[in-house]
Amino acid sequence: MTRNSLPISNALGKRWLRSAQKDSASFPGISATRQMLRKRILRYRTLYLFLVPAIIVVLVFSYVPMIGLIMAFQEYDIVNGMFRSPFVGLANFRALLRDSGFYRALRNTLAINGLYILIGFTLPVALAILIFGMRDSVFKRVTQTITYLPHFVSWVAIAGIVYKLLDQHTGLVNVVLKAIGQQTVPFMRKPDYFWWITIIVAIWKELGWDTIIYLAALSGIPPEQYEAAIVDGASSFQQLIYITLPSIAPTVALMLIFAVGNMVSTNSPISFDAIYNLRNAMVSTKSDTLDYYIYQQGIMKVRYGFATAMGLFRGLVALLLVMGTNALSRRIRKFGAF
Amino acid sequence: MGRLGLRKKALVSQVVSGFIMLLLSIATIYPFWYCLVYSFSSASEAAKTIVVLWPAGFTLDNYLTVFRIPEIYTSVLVSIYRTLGGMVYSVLITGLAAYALSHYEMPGNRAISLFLIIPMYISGGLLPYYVLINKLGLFNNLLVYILPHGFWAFNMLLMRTYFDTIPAALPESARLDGASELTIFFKIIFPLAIPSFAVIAMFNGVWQWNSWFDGLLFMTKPSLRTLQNVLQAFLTRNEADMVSLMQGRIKPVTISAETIRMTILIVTVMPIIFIYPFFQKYFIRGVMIGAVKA
Repeated sequence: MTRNSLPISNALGKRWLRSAQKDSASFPGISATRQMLRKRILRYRTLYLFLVPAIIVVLVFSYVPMIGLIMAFQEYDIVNGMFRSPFVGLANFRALLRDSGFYRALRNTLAINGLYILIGFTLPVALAILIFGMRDSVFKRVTQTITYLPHFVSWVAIAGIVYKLLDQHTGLVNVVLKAIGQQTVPFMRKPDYFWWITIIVAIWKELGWDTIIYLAALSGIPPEQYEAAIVDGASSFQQLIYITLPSIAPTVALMLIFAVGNMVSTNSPISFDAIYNLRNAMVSTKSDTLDYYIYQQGIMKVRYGFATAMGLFRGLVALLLVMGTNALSRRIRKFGAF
Repeated sequence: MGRLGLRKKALVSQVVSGFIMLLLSIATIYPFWYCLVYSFSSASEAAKTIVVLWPAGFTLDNYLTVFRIPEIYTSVLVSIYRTLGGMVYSVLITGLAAYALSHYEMPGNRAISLFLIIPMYISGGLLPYYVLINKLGLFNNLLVYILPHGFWAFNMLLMRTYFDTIPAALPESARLDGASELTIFFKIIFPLAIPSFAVIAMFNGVWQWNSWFDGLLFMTKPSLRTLQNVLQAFLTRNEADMVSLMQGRIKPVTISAETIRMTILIVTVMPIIFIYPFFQKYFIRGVMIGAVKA
């Protein structure tokens, strides 16, 4: 559905048109196609104006920082700025590859996101199938809506709740442990717990919300398929195996690919928001991901060049991963029921 | 057997599904409920007993104390400002762009779309952005919460998909009647696409309300920080700091660092929970639209 014919009806347009005609009369050399292009562009001039604010915002706040990536090759300091800071070639990248904190951050990023995908990925699929099978009722809608709620709550608040519930002295979990005669556990102070706590909390936060996309896919299955299967005497398990799962398989595959593709990017399944708010100095060996390490080195330790180099490296790896997985997803789309 | 058995089986699966959803809902709500009852508990009682379902030694002192902290007021105002301002700003810019780009015959449409979408995949990253904000003089400037967040490529795609469902004849006939594009956008497209505008507005509002990193990075004056920043500060401040901060306003029997933290947390989360029921019918539809296309 396109809106290709856009007659010029206002006075200004007519004037433009007339002057354009005059122009072409005095310059007969202009090729007909160029004239037509000009006419088409004129026709849409208001709509181009509509795009100006978006273009300016994106230009200033997204493209200008890309130029700033030059800092990765500089011994940048904020007084001299980008134009007078000395260039140091690949020194920042060499420092990066020698930096043990970088490898630790890389490991934590891959481990936390990888484990999250491994454990948390299939849960929303299963839950969506369960919800889809429920008879439509107020109960279904209310419980569904409730499970979406934590998605809309900030990680600052979620982390506050987590710290409260797991506090060694006053937190509910430890109070209950003590009441049943167990030892209390310093959950948020032992590095070894951090990955698991983060993953469980992230699953709790996003489980309900992540079902939506699968529910959309499920509601796209033609009901006749189920009706025919029931007539043929298929059990509900057989319906699940032969109709439901194959129908949503492409969506599931796509979501998995996106999740894996974004593992190292700023859209990683476990975000900087989550890490920053859940971490503390005592668990830093297991908690600090690439995002956090860039923030810490760049902003807190004022190593601009080093942190920008790390950001650039991360960005390139992420881009390759995303592009690779996107290509994969295009193939799946071609074969899938889309 | 036969029919009756099948019906029985279906009933069992319905009951089991319902039970799982009920458990899940309780698991979702309970942590919030726990914080809520804790914020209405007196500190000394909460320390003596186990707070589980109801406040221990019901009191409003925590709220009375929190609402006497000056930085709560300024931060609430800043948060409301950025939420409403950012919402209007970005819905307008993104909506106008989406409408323009829904004219697929427009020369340069593909190139402009590409230009606007590329930053979804490539970005300068944290440090260049930080330096840019510094150079633009946006440190300690309330505009930093809004100005950079005018265009969201994903939201644009979502809206454009929605605009595609509006019959082309509607704007067409208005155009023949001599309506300007601006009139068409506000008088025809906007009313017809309210669900998609509502979704974008809500996602944006929630995102703005929940944002904290820019406040932390770019604001050195505490009076310019948001409610999330204040909550963050109170969650990480140690007991002694908090006591000194509330010197003179504290009643040691009923108030502790823990109860104050939970109270600010509830104040931060409450607006989301209150607005949530009004918006939820829109967002499911909106996300479905996006999902079908994506």
